[in-house]
Amino acid sequence: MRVDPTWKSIGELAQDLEHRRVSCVEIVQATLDRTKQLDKTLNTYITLLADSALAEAKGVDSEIAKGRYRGPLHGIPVAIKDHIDTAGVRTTAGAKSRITNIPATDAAVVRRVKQAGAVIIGKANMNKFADGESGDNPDFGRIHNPWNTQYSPGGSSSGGGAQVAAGLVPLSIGSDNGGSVRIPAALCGVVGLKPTHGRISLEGIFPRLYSLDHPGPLTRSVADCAIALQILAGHDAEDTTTARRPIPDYSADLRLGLKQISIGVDRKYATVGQSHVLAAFDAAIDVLRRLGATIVDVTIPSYAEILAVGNTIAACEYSVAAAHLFREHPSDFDLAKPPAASGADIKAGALIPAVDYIRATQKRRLLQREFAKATKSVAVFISPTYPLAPRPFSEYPKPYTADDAIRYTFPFDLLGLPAISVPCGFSPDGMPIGMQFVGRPFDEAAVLRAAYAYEQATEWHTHHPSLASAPSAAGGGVSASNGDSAISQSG
Amino acid sequence: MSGNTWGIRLFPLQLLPNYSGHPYVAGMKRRDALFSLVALAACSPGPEDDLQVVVRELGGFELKPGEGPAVLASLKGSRYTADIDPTIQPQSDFDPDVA
Repeated sequence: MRVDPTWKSIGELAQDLEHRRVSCVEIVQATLDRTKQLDKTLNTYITLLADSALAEAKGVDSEIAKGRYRGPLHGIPVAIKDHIDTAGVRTTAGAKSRITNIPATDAAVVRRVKQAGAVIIGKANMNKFADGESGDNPDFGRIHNPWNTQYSPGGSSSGGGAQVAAGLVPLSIGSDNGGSVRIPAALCGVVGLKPTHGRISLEGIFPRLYSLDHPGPLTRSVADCAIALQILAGHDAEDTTTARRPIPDYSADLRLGLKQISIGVDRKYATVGQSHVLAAFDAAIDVLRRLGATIVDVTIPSYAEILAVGNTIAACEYSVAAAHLFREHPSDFDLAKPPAASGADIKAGALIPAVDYIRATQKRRLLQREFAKATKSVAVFISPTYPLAPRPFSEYPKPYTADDAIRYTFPFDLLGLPAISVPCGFSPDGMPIGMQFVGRPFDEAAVLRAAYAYEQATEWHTHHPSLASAPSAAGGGVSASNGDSAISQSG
Repeated sequence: MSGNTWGIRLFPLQLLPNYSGHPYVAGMKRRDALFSLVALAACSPGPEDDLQVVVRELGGFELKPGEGPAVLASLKGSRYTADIDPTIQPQSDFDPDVA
């Protein structure tokens, strides 16, 4: 192995591939070896596509050898959440009852990464039906947090967060309708972006909450996230909710810094959470201030109002989206654990009067206006991502209700605003903590720029779980990134 | 919704002395209404069965025994009933230029 790909960024791997310092076959073989070694413990994949990935890798090497390098995702290993359609590959949405579901075509996001030359390594394990944030899947087993395998990685894109944190892939594509990209990103110590609703196509993605679903990338750095968004963003004729707005160069402005940038914070909103989570957030504010940002106190709409509107919309939309699943396989919902929806929730959703749903969508429009007005003077708004550091599966759903657990993420699904989670510290027991940057509609560039400035001023993203370099260990802990991995040591 | 269930719902209205707000009900004689009451009482469902009918008619689902309270609790937590300025357009798509 000329180059150990384990902790390399997408940008670094792209350079290595373009200049043929390493072959795609070498990268993919190393990825598969590491996955086979670690995934017995982590359980991040439902389907591993070893043979097709190696075949695709050979094709990539052949193309690059002929001078047909496609760009920064060409030859990069990518995992896909298993509710995103992949042509000819089972797509279960985390339910064994759908194990025979083999889509004929790729989802739009899969088409885009394939066109960019990425190699699909496999389908990521997830909370069943993308419902819940525990990573505890009754059909395909628990997904374990690489920082401590007794702990939850968050959800519902649980496999994606754990894969990226463990160095299995540099990019995993997930989805977020209550925090399902950002929560696992926070709890696994990686970066997760939920773009503006309409920025990335939902076509071919298992529908859960039509107006709240957002696809999004999980990566180990903000720069990698910008690269991924560049490929994923854009109008799709198959998804009429996607915007026709131009796509800026997301990587170009990353290094502009934070001087003369105003950042909003709502001190009353950011009061729920463990003391070390809130302390990490306060420390992050100090870092941003030192970087030249002006911190502005703002007051955003109350979470109680957001929740009342969001719960009505979510209940109605999920009842529609899940009705056929429930009719075909009612037992799929028997094992539902809070906060996942039960059969009773689906039945209740069908009883909500249409006038309630319409009122909720009217109020959502007002809430968007109120949030825009409250944050008019700032470029981005910040908050913790999740009120807790990772916790053992046995503690779920305590100590917070499901509603409190998603208080920092759900509002921006409801409002459709771009939001990114980046690592901002560690709990006393060495588990990662995340913070969130939220932007104006379609201003992912500002969100990425602010998150990048913070990331580069701190060292949180350079730490990796010790499990990833010692696969037999079950405990947690922090190890600095130095490129020494199980793969380079063994092979 | 089945006719029987409508009968149950509307029956108190039928017994009101001057009720004329609903043409169907208003068109009924009170004696017919009384006969309907007796007929319905004979096969009147309990509260759980009543919910069963509603869930079946509106959602196409069968209610499992003992599931009623969970459905009603979920329903209670999922209803947005606040008064909203009726001139506000429902949001059918995201409005990126709102400011």
